[in-house]
Amino acid sequence: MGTEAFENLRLELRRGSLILAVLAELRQEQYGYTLRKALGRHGLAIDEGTLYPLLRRLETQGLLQSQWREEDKRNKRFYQLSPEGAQILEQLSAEWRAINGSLEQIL
Amino acid sequence: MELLDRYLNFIRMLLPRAKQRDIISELSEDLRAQIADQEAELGRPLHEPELEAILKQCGHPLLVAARYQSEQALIGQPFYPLYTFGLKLVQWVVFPLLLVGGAALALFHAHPFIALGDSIGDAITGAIYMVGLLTVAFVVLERLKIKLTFLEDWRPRDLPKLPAIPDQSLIPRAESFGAFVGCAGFLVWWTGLLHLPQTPKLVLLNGLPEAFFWPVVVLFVAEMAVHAVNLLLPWWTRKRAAARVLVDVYAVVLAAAILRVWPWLALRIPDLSAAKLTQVELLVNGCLYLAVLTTAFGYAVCLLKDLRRARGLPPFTKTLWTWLGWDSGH
Repeated sequence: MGTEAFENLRLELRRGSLILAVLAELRQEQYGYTLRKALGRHGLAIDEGTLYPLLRRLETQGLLQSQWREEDKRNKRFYQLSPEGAQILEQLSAEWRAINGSLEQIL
Repeated sequence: MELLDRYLNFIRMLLPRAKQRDIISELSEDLRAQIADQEAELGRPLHEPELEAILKQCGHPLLVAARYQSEQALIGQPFYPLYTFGLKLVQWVVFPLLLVGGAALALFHAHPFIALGDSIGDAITGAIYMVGLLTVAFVVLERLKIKLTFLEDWRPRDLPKLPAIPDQSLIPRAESFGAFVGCAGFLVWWTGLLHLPQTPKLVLLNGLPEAFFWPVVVLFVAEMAVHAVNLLLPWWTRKRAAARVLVDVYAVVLAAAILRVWPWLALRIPDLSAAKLTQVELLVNGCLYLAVLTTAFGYAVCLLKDLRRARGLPPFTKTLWTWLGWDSGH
């Protein structure tokens, strides 16, 4: 019960942070698999079933741009932050730092 | 790669047609990249269990496809509390009204018991239809994305005044007094201490069998004793609740035994034809049957409440208030 509650809360806590991490990683153009690996290297492992719907949602909101391109003889969809996304990322980063600062004081 | 194709085809089937190609291409590319990475690491093609492990880690096709759905709920946030309130109205107001109305109409039917059974069925069907209509109405509101302006434009003063929730551990003295007097009045009549005037036009030929005389007296004396204690010490204790549980069980058993010997009354009304008399007898006995049945049901509900009290749990009514969202923290 305790483990389940912790797991649910951990996922909830991660959900918002992952969006910020994805936006930040996509300041450089990447395709899904390399993005997942990059996030994993930073300790923010994310499964494909979560990442791709999230990318799609962020693109629908106009924060990302994407295009299909061939690389190593394989068709891949490359994502990058849109100008609007870059602006939002800046605002969200400031918000994150403020929250982090406050939490550090409380914790 | 047969396994991979089977997996992707299953997901494809669950996706909206317009997005299928795009989503499957992307997912396929990711999974193939994972497979290629592992194969490069191992220096050989993957065995089926290793491939299965990659697909299992990606998730069941139903879950993967569900994450791509833009609509994750049939009825969303602003409407959901209203919808559940509507459901509660159907449950606590519409359904009981249909039930009581149907039961009342059944009494005047040529075959009241068959009609009663039909009316219960009709009440259940009616309630299910209401739930269906309510659900459809809210789904339409959700899909049309209708904005509820009153959620933004409101004043606390405009909220309706709802009844205060009494302290559930207290027993109102008026309630105990009323019940005590009522039980005493019934006992006075039942034991023959008080004779009600007889009308010459209606003669009661027989009533409830003699065997029920003392069991009924015992029930009402027990009721009077419990209400007398509640009058003096007006709050629930676990022991008192346990005593009430015994009374409730006794009452339900007694009511069941009384219902088994129905019909109870035979009448003689000189001016009435035999056919009419049978109808009147059926109506009177039917009303009395319904009254005893309702009483038994009331005792059964009390039994559930008292069992909770005896176990030290919060009473049903408090739970109900909380469930309805009207618990102000009393």
